[in-house]
Amino acid sequence: MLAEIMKQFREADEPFDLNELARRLDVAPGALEGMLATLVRQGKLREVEIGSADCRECRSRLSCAHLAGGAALGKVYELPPGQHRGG
Amino acid sequence: MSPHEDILRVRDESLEHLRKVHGDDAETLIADARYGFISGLMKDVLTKPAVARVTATDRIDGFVLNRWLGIPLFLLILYAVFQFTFAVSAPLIDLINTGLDKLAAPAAGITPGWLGSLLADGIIGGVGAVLAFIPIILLLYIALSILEDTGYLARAAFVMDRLMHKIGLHGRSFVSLILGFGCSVPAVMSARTIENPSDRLVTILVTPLMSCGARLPVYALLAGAFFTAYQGLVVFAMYAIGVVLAILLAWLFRKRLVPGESGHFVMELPPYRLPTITSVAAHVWERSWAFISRAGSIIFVAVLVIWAMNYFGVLESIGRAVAPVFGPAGFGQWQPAIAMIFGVLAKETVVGTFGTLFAGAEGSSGFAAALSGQLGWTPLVAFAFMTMILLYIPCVATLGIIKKETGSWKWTVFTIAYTFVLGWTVATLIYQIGRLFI
Repeated sequence: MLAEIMKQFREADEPFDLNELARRLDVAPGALEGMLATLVRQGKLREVEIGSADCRECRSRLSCAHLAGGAALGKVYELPPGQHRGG
Repeated sequence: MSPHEDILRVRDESLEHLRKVHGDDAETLIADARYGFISGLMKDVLTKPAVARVTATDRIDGFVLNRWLGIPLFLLILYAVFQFTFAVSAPLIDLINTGLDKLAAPAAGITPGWLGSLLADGIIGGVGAVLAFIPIILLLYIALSILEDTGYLARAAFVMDRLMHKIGLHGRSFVSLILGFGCSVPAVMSARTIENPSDRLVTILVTPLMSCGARLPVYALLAGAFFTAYQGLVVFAMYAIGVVLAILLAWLFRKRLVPGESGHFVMELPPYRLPTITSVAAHVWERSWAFISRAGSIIFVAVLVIWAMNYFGVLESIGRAVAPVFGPAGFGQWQPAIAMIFGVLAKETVVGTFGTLFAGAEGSSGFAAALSGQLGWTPLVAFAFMTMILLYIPCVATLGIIKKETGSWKWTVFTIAYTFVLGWTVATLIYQIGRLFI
């Protein structure tokens, strides 16, 4: 099952969402999250929270008119560098 | 060899054997076998309904994430956001401008004359002109916060990512770009999570092309003055031009400057939910208050400098030295040249500069009269100037973060150069081609 997930990542030709991956593998999205967590723990995938720019480090923070920090844009799982197709 | 060493040797040989036979490490094989067993067991004992249950999220995502409908829907929603923002804010802005007019008249009469001029032309005319656009900023952030909190913004980024992947770009770039609708500084910072150095660099280079909130008062001022009936549409066009050029430039940079292989990803989209008043209010308050404090700090100081340089007669000569560069784009007068120079400090300063230089011209009609009467501007010139403001050199805060994130002066100077050339070229093309028809 985990090997099948890795295969989907390596052979993907465009981004897809977790529900689509669950459909392709015929598993429940909840179960898939556990499998992805295992692959992340093993270092085979990276998990990245997106849309959460850390404004605490920004020197312009106090004068920044338009903070985008805190935007909830979800989470992605991706292959670590050098492991993608052709990489 | 001791029995202890013997056990370890047998363990290592077994692990190596498993790796050779199955092509994977033991931990993965055990986890894989467990998941395989669970999956098999579930198939044996669980009877699924003949027709899979379709949730509300599935139904909505059927449209929102649709390959063909997703992008037009995103553009339509963006257009609706601007229509809403401008329609609702117009009377509020008029109210603020009326108040500013009432303040400016007695302030101008204060003696000595320089103090009256500083208060009326500099502070009320300059800073007031920027603050008058607070209703637009508030309403835009209310709309964007609602889109964000409902979970739609994440889906818009995902849909655009798919398009970018099609033309050979790293999908996750668009997430940073969509943050650029707020401010380029955190948007550039968010590119840190892109692991591939080439993808990260391209994302950083094109992020300033996205129309940040600081440019919005400039658009609002000029759209209100020259495109009264089509303000929302014109501002939407600015955002759309930014998105299209960011995608095109990213493609070009990826091909020519930093080629390389892009990665693939799976996105876990947040569930749809009703936005709460407290969450939206918190977002809007945080962002709007920052806008006000910025007007009271960097823009206030910039306007004071502009007023002083103008009062003592040095501003015009500087403007006249630079202005001919912009002649082919239609705005080769010293006032817009000065506005663009100070606009590099912060884009709202363009409005503050016009407010100071055209003191007394309050409100859309006042600025329309001043810009068309004194500078001979037409709607075509205003549109070309707005495009220049959208594309030319990013503000100093953005340049600072580009230097920090790329660790290179080379890419920072490159950003200054390419955005200026791009802005000038697009503005000139719009003006010159437009003149053939208008």
